[in-house]
Amino acid sequence: MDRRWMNGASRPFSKVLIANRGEIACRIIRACKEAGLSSLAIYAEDDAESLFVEMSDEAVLLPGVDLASTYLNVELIIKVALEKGAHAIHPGFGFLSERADFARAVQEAGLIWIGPPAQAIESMGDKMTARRLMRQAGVPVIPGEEIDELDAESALSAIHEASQRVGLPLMIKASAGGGGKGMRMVSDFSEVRSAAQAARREAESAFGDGRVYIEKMLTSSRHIEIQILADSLGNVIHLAERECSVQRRHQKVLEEAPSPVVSAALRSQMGAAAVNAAKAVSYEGAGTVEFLVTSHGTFHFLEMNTRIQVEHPITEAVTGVDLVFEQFRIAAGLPLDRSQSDIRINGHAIEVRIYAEDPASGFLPAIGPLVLYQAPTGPGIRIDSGIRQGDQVTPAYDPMLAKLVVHAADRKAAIRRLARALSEYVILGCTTNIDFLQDLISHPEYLSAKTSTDFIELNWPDGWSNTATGTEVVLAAASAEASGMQRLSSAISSAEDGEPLRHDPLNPFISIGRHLP
Amino acid sequence: MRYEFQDLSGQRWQVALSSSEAGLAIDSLTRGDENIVSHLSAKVGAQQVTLSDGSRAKLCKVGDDWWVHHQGRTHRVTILEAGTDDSQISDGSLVAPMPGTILDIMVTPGESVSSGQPLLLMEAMKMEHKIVSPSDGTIENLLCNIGDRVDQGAVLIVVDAIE
Repeated sequence: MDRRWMNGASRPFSKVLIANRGEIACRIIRACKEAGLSSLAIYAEDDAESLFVEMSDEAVLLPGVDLASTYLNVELIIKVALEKGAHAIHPGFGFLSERADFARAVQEAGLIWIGPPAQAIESMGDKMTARRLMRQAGVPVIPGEEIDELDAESALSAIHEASQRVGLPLMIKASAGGGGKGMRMVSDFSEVRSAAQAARREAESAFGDGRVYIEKMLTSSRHIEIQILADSLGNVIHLAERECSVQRRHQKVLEEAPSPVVSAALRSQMGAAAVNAAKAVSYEGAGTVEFLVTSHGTFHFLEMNTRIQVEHPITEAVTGVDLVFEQFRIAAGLPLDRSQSDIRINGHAIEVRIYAEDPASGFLPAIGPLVLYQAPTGPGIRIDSGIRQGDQVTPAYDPMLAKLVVHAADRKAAIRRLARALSEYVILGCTTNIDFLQDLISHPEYLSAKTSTDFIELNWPDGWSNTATGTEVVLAAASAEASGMQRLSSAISSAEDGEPLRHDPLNPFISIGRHLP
Repeated sequence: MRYEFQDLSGQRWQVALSSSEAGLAIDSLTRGDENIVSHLSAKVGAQQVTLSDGSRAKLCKVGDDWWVHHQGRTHRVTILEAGTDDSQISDGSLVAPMPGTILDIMVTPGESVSSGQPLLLMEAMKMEHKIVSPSDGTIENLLCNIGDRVDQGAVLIVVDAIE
């Protein structure tokens, strides 16, 4: 295998253990193949038939039924790496990717950690520490207060007092948080106590750390993040921004690069702030500094994600930089092979996340068999996915099925390409958000780039309804039933109880994370 | 051949088909109480149906549901057995939307509740979900306890609605 790119590296390696699963594991395995590295997957029993296990050069089963004994099993994963002769560990995103103790244990075992130093993960992972460090580094943060009180009652009264100073509406967020967990919005002072209790409880159960902080809620702001790359010699560059404003339940749905509202001047200001943020924690590797940008054009540090991001492909599309390969180069100790002035933006890229979820009932996760799965192809289309036809979507893991990325000359062309690709995307047997995404990208407010983090709530205040069923659909189903077509499809879907979640239009289940105005 | 379907909006469709040289043709079609006149016909292939308007649909069946991809959109229609009602579970029964754990129960049996009032809190897929009353009424039955692990579809609570 051709590994000449690693010539002269201070920390060469040739075999990588991927401490992850699904789509991102597939992405990393592909990067390994291209870089001449061999890939070692780990998997839990219920992933034995998964695509990433099939794609890897070698795979090791981690026994046990819960995450703690499988994908979060620090000791066992390191043991497998040592026994199987892997030299490096790539954590992907989620799972152990932002666990400083894991990063440290990997390095103490003499393995190469494909990620930032443990200290940087720690500083950025504790959002209260990060806010303090960013203030010191001159990076603007969202107005708010950190609550240091540990005892539940004194924390609640400190939160109450701080909320009066910060003002409404505000967000209560877990210091150890991320991914929308341990986060509550408060729009009335009478809700502060119950919201704080809920956030603390969720944070305590998800992270074992109930500390929270308060941030002024910057309504109708945009979520814009800067991709950075930092090598082990202290060189840091940024790869411009990604706009990720369209979210539901604080989880991103659609991302695009470049942002339609970021001027060259704002890009260089935000880029410089992101580079300063990375330098403040002696960062190494690929990372993302997230900002909220207000309608007045001011930007505020939100958090830094110390790992590869789900939406990294749009940056790859517009800059031509392979970010996972760059992670390998940096981990090997090589210097960045380009400087800031080499980074140019070419065209426009949009990513949508295809989720197994029901947008007609509050985006509740859906399960079911992927009886028919046909992904779009053609110019400017990239699909990153960890599933294929015949797989079963279970409630065990994240409901993201695939990422659809389009690249075209400009935003309008990219939207046209995305509309074409979404209409070609066929997933039958499990409810997905594909129809909702088609409505989203054809919405006049989206077309005119008036996106904000409350875009979905603002434009679908009563929720989204399924595409109306017409005569053609009923005739097609009746004809198929009359002709016995089901014998063919039921043979494919015989796996387990293939009954999908039934969603009543008057669904009484709503998620707490989502507040409809 | 007569079939009755229910679409995702709850609308019921009754369709009668007969075979002709052009394929399967619609004899009669109703949506709810409304008669629809249609001269569409369909030809059935291996995994798709070609309609006489030139459009195609891709289909599969899971349980009683037909999943239909037509003109870029995904539909699901449930086939209903003649004469049976789908409300095996009474209207006021609230079931677990997915497997999870009961975190909190905010009501007691006999209590009056109003539409939209939170009844219980469950954790599923690592998120907290609030289960709210679909109508004004009283709590008729409580079938779970705090800390219970429940399966998808398990009846958790029954609300007797005020008509």
